[in-house]
Amino acid sequence: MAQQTNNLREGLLAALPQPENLAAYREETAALLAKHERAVRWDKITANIVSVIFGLLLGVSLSLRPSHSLDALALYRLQLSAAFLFIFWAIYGVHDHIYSSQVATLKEIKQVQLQVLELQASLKTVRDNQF
Amino acid sequence: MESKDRASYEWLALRCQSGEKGAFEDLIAAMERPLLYYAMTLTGNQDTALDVLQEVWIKAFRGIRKLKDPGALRSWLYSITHGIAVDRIRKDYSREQAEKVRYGDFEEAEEPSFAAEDAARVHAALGQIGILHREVLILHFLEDLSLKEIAKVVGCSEGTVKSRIHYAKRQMKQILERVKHGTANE
Repeated sequence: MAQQTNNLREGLLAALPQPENLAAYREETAALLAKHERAVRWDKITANIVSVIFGLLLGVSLSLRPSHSLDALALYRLQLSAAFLFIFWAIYGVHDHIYSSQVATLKEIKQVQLQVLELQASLKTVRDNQF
Repeated sequence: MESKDRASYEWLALRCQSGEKGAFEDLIAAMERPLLYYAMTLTGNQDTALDVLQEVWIKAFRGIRKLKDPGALRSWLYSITHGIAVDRIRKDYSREQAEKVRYGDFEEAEEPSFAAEDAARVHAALGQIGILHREVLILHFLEDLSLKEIAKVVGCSEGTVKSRIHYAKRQMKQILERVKHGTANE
């Protein structure tokens, strides 16, 4: 049944007319994706810079003491805002790190699973050839 | 779809999610033709289908990290294609025109099947059935997606998908038989 479906699939795909200027279209798509890749990379760099700025802001605000130009309430507000922003970005960073670790682990598991399936398939072929 | 194929797609999704170099190019190479076929089936125009596909890749590239189940990679890509293609159809024509498909009485009859050698005739006959039936049949034939997965892609219930597939297969069988007996133009 699966074989029949695969053959039908291949037959249908073969019936698809080859688009004209496919090479140019693929180049255009690749260029668009490269542009988005750069944008994603810049987003990450910006996020890192912002978290460093918030960290510095928190550090500086904690080291400040109330003075005639900055009263206690204003300093407290500044510290609170800096702490909130820093924690927000830190949570985002940790979340991103957890996600990357999860994906890396799953990827390794899936790679092993694929190797096992390939071994099973080759063993089956050997067994089929024997009989 | 065999479990090895399924596992390969899952691995491909995970490679893309981890940002591995070249993974997205591999994804495009693996899914370009089936998605183009699907988009063309929906839009009925190759240029529009190519535009749809370009949008699909950008959306997929931007959103691949949001894909919670890597095993659902193919159905996820098909649902993106469906969404973009339907938007295009809405823009180009009235969707109502496309959805004017009459339902026949759905009976629990024997499910017609199609042999691999029918592929060329099936391809030609697909253009003669309504868009709602055509798209579920494509997902069924091209990717052997489950009813649940197809329902997710087209945004309706599993029961509706089941009836659409059944109705589409019957309609397809009738068209193929008419062609076989040389009465297609009658």
